[in-house]
Amino acid sequence: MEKNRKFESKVVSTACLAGKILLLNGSETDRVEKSICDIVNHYGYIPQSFVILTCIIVSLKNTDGEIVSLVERVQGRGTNLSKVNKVDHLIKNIDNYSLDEIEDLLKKIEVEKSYSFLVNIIGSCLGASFFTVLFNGEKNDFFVGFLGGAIIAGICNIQKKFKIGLVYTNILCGFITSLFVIMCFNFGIINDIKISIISILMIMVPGVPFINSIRDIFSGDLVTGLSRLSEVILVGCSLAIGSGIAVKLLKF
Amino acid sequence: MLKIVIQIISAGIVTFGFALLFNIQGRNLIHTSVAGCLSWLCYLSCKNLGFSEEMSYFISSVIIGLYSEIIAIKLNAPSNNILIAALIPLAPGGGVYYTMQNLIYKNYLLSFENGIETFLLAGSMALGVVTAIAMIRSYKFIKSWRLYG
Repeated sequence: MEKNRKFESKVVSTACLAGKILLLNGSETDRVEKSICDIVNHYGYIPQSFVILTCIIVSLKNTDGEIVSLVERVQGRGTNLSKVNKVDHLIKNIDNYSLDEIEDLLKKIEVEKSYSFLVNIIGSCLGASFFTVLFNGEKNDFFVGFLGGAIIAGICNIQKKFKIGLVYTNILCGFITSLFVIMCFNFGIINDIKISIISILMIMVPGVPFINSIRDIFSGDLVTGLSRLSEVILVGCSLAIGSGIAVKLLKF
Repeated sequence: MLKIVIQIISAGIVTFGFALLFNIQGRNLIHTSVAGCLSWLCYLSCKNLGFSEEMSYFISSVIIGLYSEIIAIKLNAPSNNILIAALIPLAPGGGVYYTMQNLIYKNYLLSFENGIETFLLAGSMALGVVTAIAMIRSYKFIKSWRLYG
């Protein structure tokens, strides 16, 4: 009896860990709930799970009708889609592993490092500079975009340590980017500020929350979908406010 | 013609850069870059065929959604890994900027117009993605029905 109870609580905590990794790294709610239920179901219990953007609730019922449940608060979301890929792959091949192995693998995935700062800079430079080509920009716009991408990657990296919140991070990013582009315009490097500002601010566009909110609303998780949509609107508005302040201050 | 080819290739590079920011690793990187090229190709060809802006956004996001779902089934990976970065070149960033600029100049009517336009573009992208998911789900249902029914 005692041993059974220990096993049940281990199943619940492993399922919760898998759900936490998925939710923290930008997976849709549907997949989180389904993965948790898959793990618990695999060991022959009846699962129930409820996931919103900041909290996971799992409970299982064994054959005697006893209930084990766990509530876990989740904070500090990021984006690391390769972790989502790995956890998803693990759960699809759940038959090949024992419970201890699954727990070890999940813990290994949880502490895995994402790309280094240098790769982040390269990514945002490529993104910002080649966006100017899509907007029919000129050669100098391309170089300004390249530098601006590096600047915005640096700001994001610094602000991870300060933790000043979603709104002010984006306002500051928009402000500094627009300031940089307007300075380049004043030195006569570029002819138009529009293309460079739009291309550089594209780096901050909330792509992952947008697609996830659409998927959540489509699959019926209205609470999470709407809260993700509010995040998208908040980020977009604060970017616009930040760059608007810079453009207004320098009287464009 | 050369300009179009350059634009399509740079859409692929943009997608690659964003994939690095989203921490996508391995072969998914290559597939998502190809999907990014495909999205800009669809958008340009729809525009050349004379569709409106909203309709071309809708069609290209349907095609990208279908492509990413099919690739995801083949690679046994979540389709989000390919879809999200590939839709970035279509994001309506220009509309948001023009809305903001017109608000600053107190051209409220123009800014309202731009805001509605941006909202419609984002909505048609969302509708396109949802349509692709629904198509794949109904295809799976019909397939299973044929096998067991």
